[in-house]
Amino acid sequence: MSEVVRLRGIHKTIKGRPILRDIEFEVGAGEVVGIIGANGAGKTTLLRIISGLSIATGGTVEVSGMPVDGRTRLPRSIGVMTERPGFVEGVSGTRNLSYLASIRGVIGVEQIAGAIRRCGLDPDDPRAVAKYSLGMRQRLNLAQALMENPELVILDEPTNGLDPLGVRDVRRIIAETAAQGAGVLLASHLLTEVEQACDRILVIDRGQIRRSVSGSELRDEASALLIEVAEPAHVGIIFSRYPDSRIDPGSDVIVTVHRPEPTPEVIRKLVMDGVALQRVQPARASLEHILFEAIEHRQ
Amino acid sequence: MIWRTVRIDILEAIRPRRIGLAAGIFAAVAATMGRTVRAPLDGPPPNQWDVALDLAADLRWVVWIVVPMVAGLCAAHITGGRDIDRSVVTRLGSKATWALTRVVSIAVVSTLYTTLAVSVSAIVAIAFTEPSVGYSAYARLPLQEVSAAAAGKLYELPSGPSPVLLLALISVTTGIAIGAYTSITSLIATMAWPRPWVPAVAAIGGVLLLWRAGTAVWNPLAHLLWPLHGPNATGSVIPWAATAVALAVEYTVAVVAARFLIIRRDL
Repeated sequence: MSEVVRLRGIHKTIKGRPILRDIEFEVGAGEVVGIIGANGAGKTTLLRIISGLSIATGGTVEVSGMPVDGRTRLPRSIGVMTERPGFVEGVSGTRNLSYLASIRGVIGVEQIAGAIRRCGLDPDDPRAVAKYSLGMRQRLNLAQALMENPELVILDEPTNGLDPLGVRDVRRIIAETAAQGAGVLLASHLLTEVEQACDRILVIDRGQIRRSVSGSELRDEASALLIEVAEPAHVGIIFSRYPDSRIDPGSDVIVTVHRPEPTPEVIRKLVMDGVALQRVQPARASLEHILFEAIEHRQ
Repeated sequence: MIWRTVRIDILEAIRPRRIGLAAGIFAAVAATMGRTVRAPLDGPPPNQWDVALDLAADLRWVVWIVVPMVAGLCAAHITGGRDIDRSVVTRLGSKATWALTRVVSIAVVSTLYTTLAVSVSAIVAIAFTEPSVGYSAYARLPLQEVSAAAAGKLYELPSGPSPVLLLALISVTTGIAIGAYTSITSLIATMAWPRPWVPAVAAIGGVLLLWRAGTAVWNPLAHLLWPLHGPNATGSVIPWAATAVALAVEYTVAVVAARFLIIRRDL
């Protein structure tokens, strides 16, 4: 898989305050990488540096093999969806995208209409953008980022203001975009959205990447069961049947079992073994857990 | 590429509510300003169109009304359009190119705003100026009588160029002159410090600078128009060329400053 983005030792300082520290990662063609973190963790700044909108204090950024410095060298084939969509308010969405597309001049009316349709809007809608709802503006913003089929798509909070159908559409569009070979970088507060859409997730906290977790790791965790037993002695019984299990670090009666078989079957076997079950639930993984763990580790 | 980008900027700037509000303020100010048309005794006879010329050369009106309003409008346009700027810059692929488009678009936008200011104010001022007040006796002897649009007063038409053309010329040239100044001030200020309070600073800076310089310095074009309304107007190539050079220098400074500031700044 060829690299679309390559970051090495990225630092960013604003008024003496470090915003990003030693950020290093790559995004491959066709890969979807999510960035999660608390407010002010540095997600948007990082995306802006990759887009060429902000200037890194140190380190190197390469997009499609070309260096990006945020001054004279900006990425050539990139689609950026910023957190706050900005458009010419007095004209229609299609007209807005036509204006933007005319700058590069690489696509025509058909491709613009196609991108608008793909994002769930009507290209023939004559209404001015000023009349659009927040959700419609977000969809139009997504369409402008995708319409020129860039090699790298950067999405900052793409589901802000979208209803559940819109969120599902965004997920589908991200998958389609990656399938066409584009690298996708996605920052979002919605952990389930990131979890479902991304091949890899970076947890960023106070300007540093604390953890990188792959989608398969998450799915493994999601397929686990959390079991609470009445007696600590019963934990041994669980381990004898499911040796891959691990005990919760904060309790001697809670065990995470990696589910080799359907949940009812696990329960049935443990009851037969004489385990007094207090609670059985899916060990929802968690990205939320990983994020909190990263933040708590720092604290 | 540059013009396509400028087009987006201009369309973004022309917001009906903003334009309507600005036009209303200009009209209200012009309606309430007391006005006396001045003209040299040995010069061509003054007429109602001199109101427009007089307005363009009125230091109080220019410095305290037009410059703050236009600088504020330009700066508000720059700071308010930052979200769409990001979509534009990532397509241009160069902040240096964007700096050039910024200067061109702000020059056009500020000229549009100033032309709006001068034309609205001039029309209202003409309508609100009593024909018998402040004019010479010659001006009150009608050669051709026309009805001024708003007030229905009787005026004489100048015998030189078409009065409508004259008003348009005054509006546009004053627009270019003030626009050159406001574009530089607001552009540099907002590029360097893109914050909501910058429009006010740009306006105050403009007021102080123009108060010291005077209208003859900042607006040589309007000054040159004085002889145009008379029957013996000849004009001169040299001042026009000097004015063109001055404007070229102003905009070159703006381009260099914008490039210097923009490529070092985060968007």
